[in-house]
Amino acid sequence: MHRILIGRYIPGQSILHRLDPRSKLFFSLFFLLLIFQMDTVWDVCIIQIFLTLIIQFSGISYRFFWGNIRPFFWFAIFLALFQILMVQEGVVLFSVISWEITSKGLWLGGLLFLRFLDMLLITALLTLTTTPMEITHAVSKLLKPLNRFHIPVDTISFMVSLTLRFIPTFLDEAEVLLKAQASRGMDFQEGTLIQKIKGIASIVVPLLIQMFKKADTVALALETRGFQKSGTRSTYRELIWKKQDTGCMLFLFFFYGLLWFF
Amino acid sequence: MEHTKILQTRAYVLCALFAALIAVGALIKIPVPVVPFTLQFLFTNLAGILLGKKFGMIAVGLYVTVGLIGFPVFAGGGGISYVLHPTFGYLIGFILGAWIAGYITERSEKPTYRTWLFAGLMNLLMIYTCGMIYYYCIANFYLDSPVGIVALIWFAFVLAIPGDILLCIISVFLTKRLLPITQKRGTDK
Repeated sequence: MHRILIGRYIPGQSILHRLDPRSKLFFSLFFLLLIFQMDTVWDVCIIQIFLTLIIQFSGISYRFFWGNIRPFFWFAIFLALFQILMVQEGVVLFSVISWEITSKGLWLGGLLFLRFLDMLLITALLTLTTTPMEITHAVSKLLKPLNRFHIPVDTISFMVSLTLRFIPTFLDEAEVLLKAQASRGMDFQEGTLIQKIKGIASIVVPLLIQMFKKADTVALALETRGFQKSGTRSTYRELIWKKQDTGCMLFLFFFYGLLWFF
Repeated sequence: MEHTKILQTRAYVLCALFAALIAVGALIKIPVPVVPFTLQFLFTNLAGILLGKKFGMIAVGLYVTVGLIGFPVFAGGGGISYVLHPTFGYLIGFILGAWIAGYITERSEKPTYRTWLFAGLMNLLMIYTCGMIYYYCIANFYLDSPVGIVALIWFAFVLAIPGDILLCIISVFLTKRLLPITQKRGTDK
């Protein structure tokens, strides 16, 4: 269960690690947009080359990227195959049994597959090079203007960081409970329906009771430290917009121009 | 005055922790034969029933927000691009479903087994309606890979529903056991 570490951040010293999380967020959103727009061979080539380059720059082993892609991989292949078989326009290349594989189908299927892959890679790049805290902080900074519409951005970002803080805790607890019950002979595969229900209850009930207890403690701890829902929040580490971030934004525009030009 | 303030802080903390629990629920797979399922629906349903409509919805909404920001808490990863994933509709359904479950439980004066079962089933109905409509739209208009309505109902509903109905029944029993604890500790509604 520990392999699913939330927000698998890999520490490093690369340029991607040092960028301001806000510019990284911008960057990935912008890139997602680009990925949805790519529809010519040129677009695809430039974006793939560029992606390979930044992955290289990040200095993170390909293993971690694969870990992020794996859950989606077969789904993407399935979608692509479906597309290849469904599109019956363009030049017929060859036929399998009664299905005709056409050039257009192949192209559209490949494009769909690449879009999925690129999307996952970009998301992985962000979470691998940025700590969860930094991302939450950046999102709340970027959404600040929403405060004007009475959306409590600070409260939401506080709750998000609280959630992230407790996911590993509950994961550990669930694991302990599963093992504890297994050592007492619980088996989900066997037994009647009632036994299964009891089995699940024996894991969920302690988890929930623990949660309610923890909530009390955390709430009390917050209160004693003067937590206010409506106060302005200060942070231990301020985000600083540096020259390299401006450079990154400029580069994005340049890159967009390049794609637009072709 | 002071007391309500503490209760309010506690309610928000409770939402955040419940969201964490939902994320954990999505990761725990119970290896039941035929349909292995996750505890995700169980927790979103309990969020609605135990926390009430407002905080239940906030808790589930928070879980979805955390996933959308980019943390891999959904069954298949995370990130803003998940919005275009065909199964995102189920997540919207989770939010609305938690609200409905909370609404039904809050409305009745003395909730019984029947109320909770009804709340759970309505929650399920909401999730599947949202999920299937979304799947249909994404598959047909975005992915350009049309799916038939019959195939959709077969794959997205008939094959998945038995496990969820089981979870519905389990959540009724769990509510019975957990309600004394939550009531003793009291959420302000």
